[in-house]
Amino acid sequence: MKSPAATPAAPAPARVRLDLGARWRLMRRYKLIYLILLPAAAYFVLFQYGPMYGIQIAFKDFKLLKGVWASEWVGFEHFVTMFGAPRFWQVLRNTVVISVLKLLFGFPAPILFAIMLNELVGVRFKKSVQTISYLPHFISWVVLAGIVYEVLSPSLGIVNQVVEATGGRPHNFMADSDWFVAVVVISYVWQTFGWGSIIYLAALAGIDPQLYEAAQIDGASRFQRTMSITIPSLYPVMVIVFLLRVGNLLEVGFDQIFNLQNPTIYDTGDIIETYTYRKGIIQQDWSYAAAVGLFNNTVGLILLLVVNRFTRVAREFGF
Amino acid sequence: MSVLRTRGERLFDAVNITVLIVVSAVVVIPFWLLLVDSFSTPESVYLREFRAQLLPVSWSITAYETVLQKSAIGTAYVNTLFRTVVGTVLNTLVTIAAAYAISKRRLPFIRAFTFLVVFTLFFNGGLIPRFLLVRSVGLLDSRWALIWPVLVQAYTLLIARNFMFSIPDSLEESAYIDGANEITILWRIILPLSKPIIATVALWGAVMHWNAWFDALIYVTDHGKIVLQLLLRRVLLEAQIMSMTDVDLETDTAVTEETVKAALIFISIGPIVILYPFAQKYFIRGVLIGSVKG
Repeated sequence: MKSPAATPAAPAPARVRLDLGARWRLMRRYKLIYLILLPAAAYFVLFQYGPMYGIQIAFKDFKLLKGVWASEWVGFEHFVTMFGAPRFWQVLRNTVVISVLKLLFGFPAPILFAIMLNELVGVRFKKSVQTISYLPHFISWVVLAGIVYEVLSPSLGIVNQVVEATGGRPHNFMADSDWFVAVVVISYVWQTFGWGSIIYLAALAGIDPQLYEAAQIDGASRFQRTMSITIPSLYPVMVIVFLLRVGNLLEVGFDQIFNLQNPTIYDTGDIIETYTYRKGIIQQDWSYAAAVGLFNNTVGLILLLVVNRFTRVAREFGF
Repeated sequence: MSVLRTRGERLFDAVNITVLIVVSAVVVIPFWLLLVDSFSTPESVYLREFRAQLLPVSWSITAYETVLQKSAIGTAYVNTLFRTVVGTVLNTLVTIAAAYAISKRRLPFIRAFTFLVVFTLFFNGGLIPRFLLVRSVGLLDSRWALIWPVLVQAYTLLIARNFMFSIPDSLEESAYIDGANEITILWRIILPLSKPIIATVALWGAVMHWNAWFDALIYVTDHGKIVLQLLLRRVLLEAQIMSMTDVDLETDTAVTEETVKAALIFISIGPIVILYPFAQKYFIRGVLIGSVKG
């Protein structure tokens, strides 16, 4: 998995504490560097850290006319309302359920796909399958959701046509809460298995061919070679990918779910982010929605920090 | 590889190839069926015995004619082109410049700034504060609301920086000793060596802008500034959602003809579908640089 870009040109420089004068001289000497950094710096300050200032409205009774600063403090009122709302718990549960199921099916799919591709001998066939599998990655969820609705349409969709042809009754999957989560998970795997396989394929390309040759001389069958060379060489990437996904457990894919969902399936298909959107942007209950969003982001931050620690430990153990 | 393969291995190869063909078909068929619809006469879509026909029953380009005649679609296309071109150029310029700057880790405050960038990957203000900020700086209903708030993607910036690390410092130093000034070094040495990462950043930015819709939904209400994806959402999804709330299997036919919807989809994804197979190595490069140090 080592690409040339991975190796820094020089060993990591020792951090030397410079006094103010020396720093100032360095900055003046390299003023061009700071000049070209300026636009990005302005962006991060205004559009990334600016909103962080606005988080305080989660603890205020925000009124558009008064603005963030002048609105009155209400302490944890919105959080009390939130934790007391059955709807919130339902939405939180939906978020976790969808996320865990996506992890369960979405994590192994690219690994399996990469291993299958790796077993192919013909280069052109392999390249074609890869290119095709990347296609959904480049399409917006607006279009993909449109396609899902078309494919599952009760009267015209291919799925219901097949159901009917085999003697079943057509079903309106997109208006059925029991089916919605399955639709989300399946369409997610469909969209991501190809693109997700890239890093595994890169890891596979890095395996020393001598390993396979040696194993073959020792009489290992192809299946044995796959089990004891191919798959173990993917463990390091698997661990990192898995941990990263656990860290982002509360990010369930707003684009996908917002475009797929409709009010008939809110009881299983409404997630924290879509709930925040409706409460805030649509119903203009700004402070409450900001509180829900803050809860989401804080739990997300904690998860990421925990997972980051695990990742570091995993790397120390040779991963 | 051994020349002779056992029966088991040949069977495995056959199964493997078959499964991969089926998987590819599952990816392509939904797109293909829509393409077929878009080239069918409106009635034939409903007349077909079985919809999974791989070619139109009767060919027609009326769907595309209908789509192209609608002025709203032309407007949306122009708006999407604007945000994609202007957005991508600004995105790439600012990101590449900043990536080069933060690759100079030994300079004062560079590490501190990089930490600020990384922190935004872990925590952000969230939807509501972001919306209120865009509102308070007066960007609501402006085209620039679709460009400034997404000017730099932290993740892309860090990937571009990792790429810059691979350019040896000695190149710059020797040019400096030869009397080149910093602007010359940047222009003559760094930029040419950075071409691959510039391509990656630009392509990622272009796809992001082309596919973006949510910012347009919340920041821009002016119909004259609607982007293609949002128009698609109106036509493809919002009619469905309305029909969903009052479920009736018979009236599944939405307001817009199936063929027109399909044509609209292809007009919107066309540029991407045609271009990505040729540009995929640049997209992939970013993923790989990211996976090493992400």
